Amino acid sequence: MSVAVLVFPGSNCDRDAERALTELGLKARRVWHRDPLGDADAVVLPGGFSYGDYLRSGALAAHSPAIAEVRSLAKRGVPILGICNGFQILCEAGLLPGALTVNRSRQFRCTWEHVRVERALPGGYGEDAGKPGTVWSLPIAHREGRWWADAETRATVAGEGEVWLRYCGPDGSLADAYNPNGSLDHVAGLVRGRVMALMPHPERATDAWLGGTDGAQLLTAWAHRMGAAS
Amino acid sequence: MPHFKRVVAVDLKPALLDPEGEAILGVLKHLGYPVQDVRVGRRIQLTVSADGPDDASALATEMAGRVLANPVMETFRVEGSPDERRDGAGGSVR
Repeated sequence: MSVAVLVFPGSNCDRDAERALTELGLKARRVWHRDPLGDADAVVLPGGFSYGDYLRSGALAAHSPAIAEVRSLAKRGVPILGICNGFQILCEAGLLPGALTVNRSRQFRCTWEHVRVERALPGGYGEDAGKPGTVWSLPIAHREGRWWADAETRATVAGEGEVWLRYCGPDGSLADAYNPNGSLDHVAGLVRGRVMALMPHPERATDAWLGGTDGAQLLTAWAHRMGAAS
Repeated sequence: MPHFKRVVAVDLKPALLDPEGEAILGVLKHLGYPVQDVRVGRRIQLTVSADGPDDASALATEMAGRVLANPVMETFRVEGSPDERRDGAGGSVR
């Protein structure tokens, strides 16, 4: 099973994602956006600043031929994971609900935050890691990470259980003080079908010397539950 | 095919917090101006090849809805060039 890491001009976390997934025993390869994704069993949209974040973060990539291919893969049930800019792209493409806009603080936030898992992923691999209530410590690095949606969309997202991760305190509690960007409903990650995305960077938290290993847990849980494990 | 100039004005929906507008508001207030609110939008100027002014406006509206504005959080307005407005063609179409 292989994971394609889709690279746009301006992506800059693609090598980190490839390395992290490879270390977990997955067959990961970076794919330039003009090249076909081929027989990828899963696709990761990595972080960065695709097309310089021009117009809006993720907006130009969302209309690229590569994302048209991702859209048809998603329709076939191929797991898609967006990280940071990948999350922004998936929202702009309409594959995930809502939009990501400028942080409440107006600042680029580069910090470690806690996130709480809100729902189990499909697949039922039977792993404890990644079950609801799990709290992970992960780094964020973004200026446009405040998730926003109108009341109707928020109600749908809540009703369908599409919130995957919420920013929280170390004990899993929700409070504005633990919300680094002002996201509505503390949203840090969403899931719709097999399309998932999060603003934090799990690929930067895969070893103790990087500051933590919760990212490896998240990626392992994702890969196993999505059936993309080698 | 003739060319037409169209301006797409994109604004954040009123319900959305505008941190950039807030920052500008703070500075303007600091300078003593009696300003109550600031919202920052974007103007995108297009030169479109089309059969006529109406087609140009329709194309601009389509591009605005599909790419230039994000309907989740933004609204947009398509405006014609002042020259066409004088001729009675073009003008604001939305």
